[in-house]
Amino acid sequence: MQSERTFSLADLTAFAELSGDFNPLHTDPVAARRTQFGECVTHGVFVLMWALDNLQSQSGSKRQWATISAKFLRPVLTGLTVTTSAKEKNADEISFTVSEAGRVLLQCDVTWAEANFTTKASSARNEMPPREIPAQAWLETTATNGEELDLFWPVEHGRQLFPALAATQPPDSLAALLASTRVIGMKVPGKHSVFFQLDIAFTPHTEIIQPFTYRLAEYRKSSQRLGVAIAGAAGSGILWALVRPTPVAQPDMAAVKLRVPADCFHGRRVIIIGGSRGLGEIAAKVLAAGGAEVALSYRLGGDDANSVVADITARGGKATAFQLDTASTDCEKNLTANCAQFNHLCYFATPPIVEGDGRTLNVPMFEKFCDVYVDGFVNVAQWLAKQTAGQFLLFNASTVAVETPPLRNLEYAAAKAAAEACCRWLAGANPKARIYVAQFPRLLTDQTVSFLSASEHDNLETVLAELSAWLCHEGHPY
Amino acid sequence: MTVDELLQPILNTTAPLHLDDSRETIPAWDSLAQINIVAAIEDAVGAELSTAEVLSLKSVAKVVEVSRAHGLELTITAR
Repeated sequence: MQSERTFSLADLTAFAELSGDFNPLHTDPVAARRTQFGECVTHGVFVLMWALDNLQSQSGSKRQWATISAKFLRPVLTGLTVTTSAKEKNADEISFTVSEAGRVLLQCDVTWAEANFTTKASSARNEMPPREIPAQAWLETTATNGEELDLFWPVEHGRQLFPALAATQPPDSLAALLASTRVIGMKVPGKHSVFFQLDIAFTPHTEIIQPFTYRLAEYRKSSQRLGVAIAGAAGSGILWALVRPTPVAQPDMAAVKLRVPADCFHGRRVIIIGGSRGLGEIAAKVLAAGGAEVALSYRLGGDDANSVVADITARGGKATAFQLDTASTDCEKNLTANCAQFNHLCYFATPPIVEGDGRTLNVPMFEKFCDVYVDGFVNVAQWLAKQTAGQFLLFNASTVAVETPPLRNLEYAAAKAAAEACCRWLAGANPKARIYVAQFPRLLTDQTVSFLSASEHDNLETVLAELSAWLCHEGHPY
Repeated sequence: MTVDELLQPILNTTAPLHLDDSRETIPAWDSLAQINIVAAIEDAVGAELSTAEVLSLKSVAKVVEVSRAHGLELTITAR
């Protein structure tokens, strides 16, 4: 049996209210764009409970869980359509997966209790859990002695999201499963977490009154992996999580000024599309440190862009920020309003750099990259060509992946290659254009940081070298 | 224990794995799979790997080498 679903941001908010897991990775698109996933990720436990609900409703089974072992293998991004498929191993055990285009995202084994437990008084409160702020930092000593946690099963809201589970599973079991995502996403490790595995044995028949507790049971520093033991009246188990890399901080203006010769970009007026973070942020600081006036655009990260501007202007540089969506119909009007006197443009805009399956070309994914790298770039380049009477200078941030596409980055590399072809076409069609394509190596940014990642290159030196190659020749400005 | 027993469930494959297989040849060997490989080795050897060992685990040859350094001999299918 198979079922299909696409999770929306509104769905994730509804589940956050039910579970109390308000980690920004799930509920805040602006914060989530600075994680290595680039956008909001559906709670693993939400995907799990959706699949379990399907399993129960389609089979008509009223049986209760004895154990659940689930692995959250890959992120279920908002907007992604996933399917679930189940296989009965024997009369008491079933396994299922949740997949997208053949890639397994979640894998789960469920064993059924021999007999259903009669409903006893539930220790879970019939109300929404409190809306808390996730723990910002986490220490190896956090919760090593165990912490108590109130359990919640808001019956009406739970029934709306998971009708079949609400009708078959004891409230304490459902509350414990919901608490598991709250423990990882809000408590240990909290804000910078990724939940990747759970193993729970349910024993809701016990009459012992026991508070629900969680305890840091294991921490593997080299792989940033930790195990949290949970125990309560509904059962016990272990939750496995990774400590997610924090957003990558780029060098500040003070550090940039030490490396950039003053006045080497004097008199330049440069628009930086995608300048609120990452390589675009460094380019803004490098150009400003060299005496250029910069106007940097952001799509979502207004606060990040304003921080970059504040850092530049506090050190005597000239910078402004403006909101721009290169796919919007207002794009040209917006550029004209903010950058009428500019004749230089650096293009760093990027969508989340998601990986393909390494086997085939994922066309929708390729098109999503092209929307930004090709359509967006051509739109702003053509605006600049119309706008400028004399010479105009364009800088396109490309990648070495164009020459040797990594196994799981075909869609990304192919879109960047298409953008390079557009650069050559624009150069041929516009004699007054000077277009420079920089093939950057893999540098450490929000987009490339991953678990266990490292880069061999220095971000500032690499960006400075490329901008100098664009605007200077043998030490002199073009 | 064989390399296949250790890695096939993580890499979502039933094909025999060879020493020259790596992150660049196996589609499912992404960063999350790598975490699971680290976890599987640590569980099998009963010890925590060093950061350098964790970062080096990008090929079957390295998986065999790191496991051996912790006393776990993984056998491999000859090509």
